[in-house]
Amino acid sequence: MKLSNIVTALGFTFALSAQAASLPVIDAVLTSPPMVPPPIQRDHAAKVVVKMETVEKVMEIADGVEYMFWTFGGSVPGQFLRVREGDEVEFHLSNHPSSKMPHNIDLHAVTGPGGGAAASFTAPGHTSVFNFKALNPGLYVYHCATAPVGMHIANGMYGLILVEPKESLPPVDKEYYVMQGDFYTKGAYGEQGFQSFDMDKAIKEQPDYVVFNGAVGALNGDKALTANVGETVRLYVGNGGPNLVSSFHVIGEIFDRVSVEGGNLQNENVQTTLVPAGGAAVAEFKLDVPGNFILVDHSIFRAFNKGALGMMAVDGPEDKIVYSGKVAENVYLPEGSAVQSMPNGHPKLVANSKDDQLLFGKRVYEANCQACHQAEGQGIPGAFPPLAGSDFLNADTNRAIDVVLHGLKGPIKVNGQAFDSIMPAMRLTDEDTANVLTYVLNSWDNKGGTVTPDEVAKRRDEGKTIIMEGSAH
Amino acid sequence: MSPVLLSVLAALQMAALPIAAGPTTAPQMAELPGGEVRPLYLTKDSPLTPVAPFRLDMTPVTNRQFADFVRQHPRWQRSQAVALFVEPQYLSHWQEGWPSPEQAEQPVTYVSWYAASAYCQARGKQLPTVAQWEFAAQASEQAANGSTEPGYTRRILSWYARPSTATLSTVGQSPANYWKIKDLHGLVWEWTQDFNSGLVTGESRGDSTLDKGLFCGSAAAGSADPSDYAAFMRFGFRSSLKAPYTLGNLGFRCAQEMADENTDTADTAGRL
Amino acid sequence: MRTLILLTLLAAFNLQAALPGDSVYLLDSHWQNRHDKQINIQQLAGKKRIVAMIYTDCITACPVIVSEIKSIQAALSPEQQQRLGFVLVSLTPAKDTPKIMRYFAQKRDLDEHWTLLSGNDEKVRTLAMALNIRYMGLADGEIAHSNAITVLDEQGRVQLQQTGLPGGPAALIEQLGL
Repeated sequence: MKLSNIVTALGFTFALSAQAASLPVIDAVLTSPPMVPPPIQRDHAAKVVVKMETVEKVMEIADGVEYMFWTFGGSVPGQFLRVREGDEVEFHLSNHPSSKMPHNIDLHAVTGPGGGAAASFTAPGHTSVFNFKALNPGLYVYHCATAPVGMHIANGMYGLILVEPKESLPPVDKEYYVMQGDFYTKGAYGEQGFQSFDMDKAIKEQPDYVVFNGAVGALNGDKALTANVGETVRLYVGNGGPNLVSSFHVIGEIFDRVSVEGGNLQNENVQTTLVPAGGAAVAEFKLDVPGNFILVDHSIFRAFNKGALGMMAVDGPEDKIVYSGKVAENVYLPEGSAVQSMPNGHPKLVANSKDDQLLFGKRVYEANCQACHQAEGQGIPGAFPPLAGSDFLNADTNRAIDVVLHGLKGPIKVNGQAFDSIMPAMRLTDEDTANVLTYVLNSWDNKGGTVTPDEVAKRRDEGKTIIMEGSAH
Repeated sequence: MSPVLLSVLAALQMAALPIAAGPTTAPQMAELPGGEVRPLYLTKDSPLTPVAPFRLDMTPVTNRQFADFVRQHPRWQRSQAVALFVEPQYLSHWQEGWPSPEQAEQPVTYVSWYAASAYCQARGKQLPTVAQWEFAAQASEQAANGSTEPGYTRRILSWYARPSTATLSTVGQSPANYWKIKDLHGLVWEWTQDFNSGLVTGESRGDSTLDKGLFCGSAAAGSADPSDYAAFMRFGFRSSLKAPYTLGNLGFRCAQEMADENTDTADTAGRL
Repeated sequence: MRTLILLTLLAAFNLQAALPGDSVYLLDSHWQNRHDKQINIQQLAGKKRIVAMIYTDCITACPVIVSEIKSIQAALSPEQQQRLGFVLVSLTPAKDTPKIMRYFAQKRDLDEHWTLLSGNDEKVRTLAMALNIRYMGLADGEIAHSNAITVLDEQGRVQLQQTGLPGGPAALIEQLGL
């Protein structure tokens, strides 16, 4: 065989095998939250080179509250990674020289020990490189796994990596990156100044801050997410934890589709979806009306007292059929015009006969009179006059009504005994007064007869407190 | 050239004799008695590591002291030191090749384990072992073992959480601990002689027991104390290091054995 | 005679000057081998070396390491054997005296291609640093240590390091490019 033939043959084989063995090399596009890298257009696998840096930096977690965050790429959450199922990733993890701590990374998309943690353990000022293949599609969390892991995560070292399926995701108009986290500070929520991490609170799972994207208000005001009426929005929602599970809800919207836990299972028409700690979910919805739609963790005290609140501002034409806003405002009056009050707190019972009066009257007597005048109307000598067979009572019914309604003070003589005290005016309704007097008049050898509510009403207007002659009070 | 002269030159080159030493400068030392310290990994036979009496520098080695050493041993100059022994950042904070007046009393950083070891050996000392360092460091101001005092761990952790500021403070600013040693916490990380004895793989979830595939050793080794996570962070930091590394927040101090035949001491491999 | 001394010195001089900056042999440390001879680690230069740190008392992984290296030796052609040597460094130099090392070599049938080295704790620690081998003494007398074997090239640079022989001795020999 001629030498040139051999060389050509060898060269050809070499070229073929080189092509079969090597994938095109692409530099990964990384974005800071809430932005997401553009959808992957290619239809083949590639070798994706990812260069990520861990940085420890002080940032505001709330107005006037500073915290030492440990971050991937300088933001909490860290940068968003987007690769395709089957890609081979060459991961460069650099730990900034100003870091105090070593750091590493565990990507939940990695199949392999530690998710890459042991292979990427890096001292400050150094870089580690390791490779992995993205075998499974889905939305995955990544986080630092250096001991103590809880502390590294609690300080903000987490983010999301999206492995697009081979058949790629259906296109949408807007994609956003939202990640919830709980934070534990020595001071209380809102306490000003530099706050350091509180391990005790973290162990007790009692956060001071629960926020989207690393700070109170990170998705509010001029940092709110934006969209337009008629657009479909896809939210890549992660939860770094370290502890809390999120009940993710967008006030005023319903998720048309949710990728449950970031996997293949699709749910539809979901109001609130669970995002596990160290997990993710994808929520898609189409905007039909304009307005501000609030993102919350529906464990609602977290939203209003700890900061788990963000906003999507939607512009566009209104649709009054879908949502009209307030169309009318009226006065509301239930039946009747007067305010009805409930004396003694129980419903009024109306006596329809003397027997009823005696029955109701006995109850009123027991509740209001018996304490002083005693169960058989015998009173207490020297203190409370008797009602049983009372000459004073039987002499003048109108006076008896006045005593109950308006009270009496001063010296009196009842059945030959002298009493000089005060009988207070009783706060009883006309009905109750009539009933109790009827009861007393028909008990214990009193003269009998009845007292009607109308008579009581008349005495209420015309009578007054009786002050006996010689009253010292 | 005369063959004799050539051979003398060759011999000199190989022996790397030090140039005449100037006045030696080194931190003052304090004496520590023997005792025990809890290692990161317990074994069922011996829960605590014994530490023989030793001396320890009261403060970390400063830029000025290290500069004196480099002057006496030019092979440790930035331009001379070889890649095996130092990373490219070695002494990169010495702008003119020597420390500035402001840096003089700051702890020296950007030095590798080899450079630190060489300094200590030139002073007749060695780097402290992890056991010696941890023994000295577990003291608070009031007690030999202050690790149970309230606020002890919190104070240390607040340093770990504080940003690495641009300027280091000078040595000796923190209050002395029970052994009169200063700056063990809160200034710089420090090299130890056997930092590579921490068999931590970096995969902290698996680090509670030895990875049998990677390490040969008895099954008893390997339960770290999860409650002292300040110590865990220190051991974790040490495990991320390799001997040639130079870091801006990593310095060192030296220790000295106190010869005493009556005391059982653990050798540098940690065995009695 | 003078010329011989001169040539030897010049050779050594050249060797040191020739060692690259990341050569492990720059440690320039002295060790005792099984023949009671003191050698400088630089004398290992000139051929590739498979280096392992073990100790003769070890009954768990160290015998496996030695067997793995022996299986590599068995798979070498005579030409390849000329270019590759084996080095075992003791982690317990106080115990592993030259006499003990001789006994060990005899028991495990280690021929002259095997260099067994005993130094002192400080040299062992420094060499382990250079080879990135971790080890820790345990109170029961055992030493927990990394099981990796390291290959140094002819000039003492770390060519590769791995634990075990996935793919068998042939794969490693091919990787070494002997």
